[in-house]
Amino acid sequence: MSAGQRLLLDRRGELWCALLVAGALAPHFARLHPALLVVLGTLFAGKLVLSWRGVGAIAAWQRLLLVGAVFGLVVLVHGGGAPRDGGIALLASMLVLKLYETHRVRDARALAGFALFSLLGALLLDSSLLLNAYALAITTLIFLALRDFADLGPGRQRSRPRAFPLGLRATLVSSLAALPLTALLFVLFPRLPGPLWGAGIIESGRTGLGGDMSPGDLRELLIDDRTAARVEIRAGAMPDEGNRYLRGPVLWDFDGRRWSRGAPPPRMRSPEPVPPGAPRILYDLSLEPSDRHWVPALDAPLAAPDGLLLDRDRVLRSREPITRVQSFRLESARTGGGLIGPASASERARALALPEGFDPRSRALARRWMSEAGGDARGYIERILRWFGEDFRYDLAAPPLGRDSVDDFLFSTRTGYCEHFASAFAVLMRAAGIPARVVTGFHGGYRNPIGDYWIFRYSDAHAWVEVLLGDTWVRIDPTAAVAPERRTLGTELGGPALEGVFGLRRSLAMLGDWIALRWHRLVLDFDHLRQQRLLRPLGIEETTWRELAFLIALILVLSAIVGFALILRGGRQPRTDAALRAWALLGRKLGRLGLDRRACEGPTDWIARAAAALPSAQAELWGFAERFVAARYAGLGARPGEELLEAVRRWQPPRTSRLSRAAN
Amino acid sequence: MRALSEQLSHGALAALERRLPALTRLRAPESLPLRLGMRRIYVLPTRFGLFFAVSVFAMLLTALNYDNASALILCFFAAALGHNALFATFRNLHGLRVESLRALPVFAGEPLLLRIELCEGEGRDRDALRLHRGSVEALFAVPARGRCEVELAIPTQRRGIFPLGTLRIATSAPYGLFVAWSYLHPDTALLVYPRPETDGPPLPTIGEQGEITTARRGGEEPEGLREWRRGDPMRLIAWRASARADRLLSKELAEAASAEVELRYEELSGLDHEARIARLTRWVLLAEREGRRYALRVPGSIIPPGHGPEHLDRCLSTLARLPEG
Repeated sequence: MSAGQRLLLDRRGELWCALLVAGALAPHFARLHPALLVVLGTLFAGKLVLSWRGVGAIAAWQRLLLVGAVFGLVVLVHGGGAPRDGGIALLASMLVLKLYETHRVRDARALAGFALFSLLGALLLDSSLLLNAYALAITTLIFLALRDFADLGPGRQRSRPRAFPLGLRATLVSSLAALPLTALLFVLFPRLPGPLWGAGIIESGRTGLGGDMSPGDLRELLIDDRTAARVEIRAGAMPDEGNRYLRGPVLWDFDGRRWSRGAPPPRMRSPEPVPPGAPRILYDLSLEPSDRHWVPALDAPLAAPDGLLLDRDRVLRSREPITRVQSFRLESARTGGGLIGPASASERARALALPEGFDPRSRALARRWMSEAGGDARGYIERILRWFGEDFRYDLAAPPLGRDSVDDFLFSTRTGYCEHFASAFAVLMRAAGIPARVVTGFHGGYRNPIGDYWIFRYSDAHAWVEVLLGDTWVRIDPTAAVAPERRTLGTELGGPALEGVFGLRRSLAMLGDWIALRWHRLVLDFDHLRQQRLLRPLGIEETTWRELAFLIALILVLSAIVGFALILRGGRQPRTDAALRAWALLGRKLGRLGLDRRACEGPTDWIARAAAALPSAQAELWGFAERFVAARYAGLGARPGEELLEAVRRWQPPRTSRLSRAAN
Repeated sequence: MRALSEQLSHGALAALERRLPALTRLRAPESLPLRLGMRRIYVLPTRFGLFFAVSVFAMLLTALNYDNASALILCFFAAALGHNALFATFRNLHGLRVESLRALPVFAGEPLLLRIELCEGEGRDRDALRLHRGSVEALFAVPARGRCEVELAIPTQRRGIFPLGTLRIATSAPYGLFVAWSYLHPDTALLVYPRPETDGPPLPTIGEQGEITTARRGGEEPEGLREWRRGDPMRLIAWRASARADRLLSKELAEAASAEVELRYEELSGLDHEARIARLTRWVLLAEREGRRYALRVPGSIIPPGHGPEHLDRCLSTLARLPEG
């Protein structure tokens, strides 16, 4: 049973290995540094040439040199970057280099196992339906390769040298047959209540809202048209376009350049009250992975579902960073931005604090305008918004700002986007004695008519300000004063302007997004709770490991029974040979004329007798006999028998005279 | 370490087979043809199968840990494919028919060329089958609804009925994750002729009563023609004369009649049992080659004078079957 121990790969086997490596690494290409990608691609092509030429192992020192050089390159280009990318680079390098020492069937099989791991890694980083389908296809390819490896014998012999690809159909059938079992296992396999080890190591690599903001931070996000969040309304109405805000982290602290959340307001105190009578909205929020804790919700979420925390300023946070697609059922009050904030003295102080020694001109301006407004906060705010609308320009290509970022923005560049406006506005508020805080999140979104839900993309990321007027936090979006149409920026797919040529593309994109959402809801969200809900009708109240283990054992037993039943059915004698069936049919037809075949007669004797009794059918009968003998004994395959069967079916025995019947 | 584990697994298997005689390969030799049915096929994971299982389990733990549904799907899919591989491996063996087993007799020391004919009647290609006997192994495939003759060259040591023992037909196809095997214990008797002496005295002739004298070589010149007798070697047939006479005529060599030889075991008193058999074997072959009629007298049997392949086989078989000294 040590088959595969010393068995060597042939050229075909080595090429299979190369194919597996390429297939398993393809999802990682985008994450590899271009230089590394070129080097690995060259190494890969080199190995292909070696395999094709039938060159065996390269020398150990050459391999060692290669390993050293490639790993050196990995450290060089990925050393400073995200550990995730470095890990992927190492994995890819190892897989490609492993090709250079894969000469035995055993190595090839190990390589197949590593290829599976590589696919797993890709899926941990990206759970899209497309990648999942790809991973299953490559898994099938891996099994096709395993099939090829299993065909190798000692001395690179093959049991079927010419068959390629070996058992393609059987492997495809096996893959299809594996799908129902996969689905059953997926539904029934018990999930862990919590991670066994730190689950935060794997980052999705996605960008998301940070816990802080400084001018320029969101720029990358604003040109990213991928979906960040989806909202399906369950009850209530979506706020109109001007008020459609997903409220992310609220930033309280400003250090002259950077807004940050700082220490979040203590959670034990009750959240800021919602104005009475605000309409409610119930919805499902599904978030793409962001590696962050923030769960941007519509206006004011009323309660935190399991696994989330609700801060005092009604910011929802997840306990674990969101590294995979997650969905939450939320209820919010549509406050239009207003939260009642009987802010404590310390909160009020925090919302007024400005760092000393920054932005002197802005602060002076704020004080002057406030006094000119006679202390009327609303009038002061309107004047600033008017100023923004008249003298400022919305542009993603904002010039960089110096040390006094707000002064630079307000008095020299006057060009920027939401971050600049929110930051400058909040500083102007605080300098005039109006408590203010910056909020980041998403704004706008668009409705997908397919599936009727709302899509927020990264390009919908936004920053705005909440100011405390009286005892209410009021949402003020200074960017809207400059560029009310800003939501059409970078929204190639969502913009109403781009119909026509882009119509089809847009519809396809919407369809794709809808499929992604269904995939999230149906599969990616399937967790412990959904499992319990699904199994309750089956009489399983508490899905404990023991009961599920029992269920899975039951499934395996059932599938074994099905498997063996199929084998036994296949093992039954095949349908009788067509020639024999033709002969039996002829026997029945002639039998009706009293000419049935006697046990002692061979086919020729019988036909001779029948032909004598039926002179009119003589030629046909002898033809049948000849064809029967040929089909049975000449070894021409199944065709002649089937043709004979068809001919006998069509044959009408002649009406016989009494005489010939009597003669018989 | 590996030897130990193999020993252990063999021991466990043997114990199991003693407990379940119905499943056992230790059952009595059986006659061919036979079908590899469900009750005589064993399946176990291969070493790679275990590696695969451990890998998938590790992947599963990772996927569970990150509670990642699509990673879980990949794991379950791989596991389900592995599960299907179990049946596929079983099916690769199941229903195969072992039609016949034969081998031409060889002399001890020469490899016995075992030919085993297998027949597929269920319409599935059977890939990567392996037939083992001891350390000898052959790789073959049987096409759907086809036949395949597998050859195993098995070394022989001793004359006599060849103890074929147990053949093992195994496959780890299609995926190498599981190995299915079945034991064959065919009752076909295979004979190994004794090893002839490599260098020895020439053929004795019977001159006077019971005396062994060295034979003169048989004259090659034909003295006359006689009726062809069964057993005459081909080269003795007088083809031209036969064509003229319209019946087969054999050349009568000068000494053919007189050089009838009787090979006697008892006469070789100076040698031990096996050496006598070896010498007799050589003489039998020599006599056959020289086209002479020869008789064989060994303990327990007397073979009257004769000639030809059948006679040769009879003599060699008798020598092969002689009891051990």
